[in-house]
Amino acid sequence: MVAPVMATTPDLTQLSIEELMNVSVVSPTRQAQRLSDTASAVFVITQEEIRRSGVTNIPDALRLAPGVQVARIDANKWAVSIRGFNGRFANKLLVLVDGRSIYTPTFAGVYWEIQDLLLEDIERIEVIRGPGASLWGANAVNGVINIITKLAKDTSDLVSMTAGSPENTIVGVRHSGHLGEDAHYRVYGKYLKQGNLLDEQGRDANDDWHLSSGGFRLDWTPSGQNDFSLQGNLFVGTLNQDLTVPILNSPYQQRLHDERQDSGGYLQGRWEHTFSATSNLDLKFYYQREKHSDSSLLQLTLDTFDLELQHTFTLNEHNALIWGLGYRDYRDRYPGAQLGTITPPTLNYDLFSGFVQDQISLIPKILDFTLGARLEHNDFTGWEFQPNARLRWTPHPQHHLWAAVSRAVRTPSRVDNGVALNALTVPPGTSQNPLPLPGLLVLQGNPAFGSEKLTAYELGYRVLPSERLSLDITAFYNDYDDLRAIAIREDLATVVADGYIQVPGLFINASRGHTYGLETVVNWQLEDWWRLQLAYSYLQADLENKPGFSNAIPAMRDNSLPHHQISLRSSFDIRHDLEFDLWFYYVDKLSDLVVISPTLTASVDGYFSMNARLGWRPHPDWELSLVGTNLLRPSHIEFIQEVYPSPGQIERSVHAQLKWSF
Amino acid sequence: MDDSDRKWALFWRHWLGVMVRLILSGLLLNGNARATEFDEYTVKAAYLYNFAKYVEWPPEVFVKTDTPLLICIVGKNPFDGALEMLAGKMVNSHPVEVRSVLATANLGRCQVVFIARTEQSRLNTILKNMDSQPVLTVSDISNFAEAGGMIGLIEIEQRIRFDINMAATDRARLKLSSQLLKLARIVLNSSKMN
Repeated sequence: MVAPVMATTPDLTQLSIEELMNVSVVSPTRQAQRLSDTASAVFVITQEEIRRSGVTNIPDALRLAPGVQVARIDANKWAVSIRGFNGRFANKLLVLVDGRSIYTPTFAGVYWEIQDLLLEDIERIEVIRGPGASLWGANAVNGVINIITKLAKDTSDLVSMTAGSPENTIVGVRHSGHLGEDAHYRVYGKYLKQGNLLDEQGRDANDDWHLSSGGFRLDWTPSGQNDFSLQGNLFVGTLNQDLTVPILNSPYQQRLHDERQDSGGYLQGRWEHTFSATSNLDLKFYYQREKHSDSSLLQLTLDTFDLELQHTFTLNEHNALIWGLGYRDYRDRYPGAQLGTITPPTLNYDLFSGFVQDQISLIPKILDFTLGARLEHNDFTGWEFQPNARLRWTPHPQHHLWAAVSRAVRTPSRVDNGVALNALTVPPGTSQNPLPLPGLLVLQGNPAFGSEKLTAYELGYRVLPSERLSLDITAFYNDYDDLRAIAIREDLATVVADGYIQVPGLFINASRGHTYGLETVVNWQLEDWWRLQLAYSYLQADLENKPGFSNAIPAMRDNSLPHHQISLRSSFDIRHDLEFDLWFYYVDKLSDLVVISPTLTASVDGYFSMNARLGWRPHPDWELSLVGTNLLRPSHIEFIQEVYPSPGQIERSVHAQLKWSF
Repeated sequence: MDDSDRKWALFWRHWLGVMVRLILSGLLLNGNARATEFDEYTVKAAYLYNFAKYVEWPPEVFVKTDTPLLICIVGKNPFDGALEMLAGKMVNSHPVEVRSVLATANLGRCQVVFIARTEQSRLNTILKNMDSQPVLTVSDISNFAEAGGMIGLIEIEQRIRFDINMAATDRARLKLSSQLLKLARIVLNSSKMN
């Protein structure tokens, strides 16, 4: 649910100008996207919520949304997913920044650490749980996260400084201005440096990192009918990590320090043309490059070109249509590293797609039916068809019911298709390996690996009993087939001259099953100066290996996900210039994570966490805040990465932030 | 829910809020703090009312102490009722009246004129027609103050701020209180304009 907007007009004339300057506003354009009107499980994180939560990065901001699983792995890595299948390389989520996909086709996931926007530039983050494939494209299987930044005209000059302990330094500088009457721009720079957290034993985890980035946005509206925008960014950074990697002699594993150099950038353009109030054309292109040079794990250079066209129009009083075409070209290069290679090492592959969606009004404002489908062609599995049907019923203006059935696929990544990764050494003379030679498990991509498939059934209800209270409940049942698993091919084991046995672990579509759950959010504006939000999500899985693959290692087991997550937030205004925020959350234990380790499993205790923020605005241009996170315990572990595990402890932390906008 | 239940719910909600607030803020209580997001034009309407309080018109504008203060809207009214709510409120002894008027009407009768975004293309003509008349011009058209308007409302970081063009207010013989000037984002002075 969006932050509640007062339905009746309150009397603000009692406020002084200083107080009015501190009131946040929602403009009608943003209000136009009434969330209660959508037939899907959408939650919007507003800029105001990000600011008041005190978070300093995007993954932590995503904890604000219900039904999203966010776990910090170490200082510079996160696992983020929706409705299960979480991992460092979680692959069922599509993430977009202003329409640009930041999902990498290398492993079909997101490098969260390099998504280094100025948080102050974000207008909102739309979190769509459930498949969004027909509108957004393949890999929007379990959800879509849309990060939308502000128009240049809505940003001011800004200096923002954050300093905290454990070391967390962020400096952001932004300048905005206009060129003539119709063009607005902003340029920004950001520097981030974070210090080491602790490893499992309480030593320095050697995971400090720093990232520098800079970018711009230019919006030009030469006439009421045309909007142009151009955005770009460049970044460079160094990220440290420790990996637990296999070796061929006792103790068969060691901690390896790894330093990764990342760089990249993008250029993105957009033209929006309005033919009439009911017809609108949107043309978008982007070019994006990212480079990860990492001596031990993987080296990668990826170039992406993308061109998209979308036309929205109202055909008649009953039919609102959207159709679009897209083309994307990927060129990548994997020079190979100590632990892994990808075959072929360079590849140029592309993606064509077309989609159409019709929203049919059966009874105006009461009942409508949306039918949409996307047809997409990729170089790995050929054509993929992803339809969906949605029904929305508004029996009363305060009650909204919706139901949806959709199909979505997760297409193979380059890793699924052609990786070779030395993952684990199984010591000799053990129950898993009775032979006298150590066994090296090599994860191998499979050119025959097919798409993972989902059919999702969703049901939602929203009720707004009063202008101050809203409740949103969604239930879902996801039926998966052809999920990825690793088949241990002992029959293909070979004895290598060096004195070890190489055992291939082949990626194969060998698992299936279903997940189901419930997500609910209650927003309660008790007073104008006090807002509470309670979110709860319940998640279950029932997965199995297909016949003939009983030994395969699945990507997720029934207890790999948190069955319960609870979040309670309070935003409280002590005075017009003084804000106090509290945020409690609970994440259930992960009792059976799939980890490529000798036991093939790991567990993480459930945890309670509390964050608190005190914000002071002595002047409308100045904001000073003090934030404490994970206050209840000195440290805790949130996740264990699926390969080369080296869990980091997330420590209690405090940071201060000073913002000056002018 | 029957009536008594609702009353109890209201009672608890109220007292729970009051208690937490008291614990947290001690004696710093201020009833006007707000965490809500408000509709853009509700806030802009409140600004108009506040501006009227901080502007001094030349004495001949108000014939009597209870002569109405007229706020006129030129162009498509974006306020959706929020501005109309000001009607009847008092600005120093003058009751507020709100009216939608045509751009071609005699705007000299109004004390405050709000120019809607729909009039962007006609802005220069409208401002020219009013030049030097003691009318406070306010608009949220971008760069309004630079274009010769008096107070330009702008949205920054989801908050409404304003620019003031003192050359224009001086010409119209309007006196703006120093408090207003202090809070303005940009003040364009006569010297700069000339």
